[in-house]
Amino acid sequence: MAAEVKVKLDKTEASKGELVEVRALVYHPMETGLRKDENGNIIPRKILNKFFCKVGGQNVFSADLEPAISANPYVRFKFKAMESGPVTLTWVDDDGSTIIAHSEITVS
Amino acid sequence: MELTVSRRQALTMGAGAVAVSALGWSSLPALAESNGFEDVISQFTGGKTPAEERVNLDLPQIADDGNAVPMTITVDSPMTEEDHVTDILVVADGNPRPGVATFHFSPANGIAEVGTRIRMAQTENIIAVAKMNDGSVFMAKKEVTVTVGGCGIA
Repeated sequence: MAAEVKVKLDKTEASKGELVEVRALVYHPMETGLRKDENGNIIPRKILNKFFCKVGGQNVFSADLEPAISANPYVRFKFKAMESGPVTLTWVDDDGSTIIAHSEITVS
Repeated sequence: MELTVSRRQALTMGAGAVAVSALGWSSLPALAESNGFEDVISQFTGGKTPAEERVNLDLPQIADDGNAVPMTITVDSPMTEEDHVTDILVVADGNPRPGVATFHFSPANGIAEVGTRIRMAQTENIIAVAKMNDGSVFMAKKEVTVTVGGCGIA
């Protein structure tokens, strides 16, 4: 399933040791499993329950998400630029599927 | 209505009743006693009581829309190999379920800071607990007045 993701780094080029801010938003209903449809049937839970970010293959940040995270989950965090490489963001859905987005950092 | 109502529930009931009838929310888990947030914190800290320092929890005093309340957490830490934040737990004491998120950090972050948006069912406290690499724990707590609660929150 194609999901729309917005990823933004506050800088794409950084000197070594500089902090880089990542902001990411992914379109997803984050269905809590507590809501009911018009017929009174519970709408099954379906959320993104895990998020992680790797820079150059190294895990720099991760999160376990609960249904109390808003729909279209947004996350903002920082990492220390050490070497150039891909910035990969992954969200894991309750159904086991993943949403993956990429960016790139150049370290001079 | 049975009159086994705490002061807190009574205060929230007026607004809550309107929202609930409008949304057709038949069960009212949020108006029960504790949602178990104390146990979640205790499990996270290994039974230690966190000191109320070093954690800065930035939330609005009043949130018009409980579906998306902006939250930023920063922890005062040098984020070196010797001294860094490993995890931050966030719980809500008035949601149907206490858990909000757990964030995992390492020295690779350079700074212990995270921002996101959360669902709040009603006026309630948000509690952030930070765990350090030496096992020490710190916390911050903030009450947010919620005008319209996030519907269908868990």
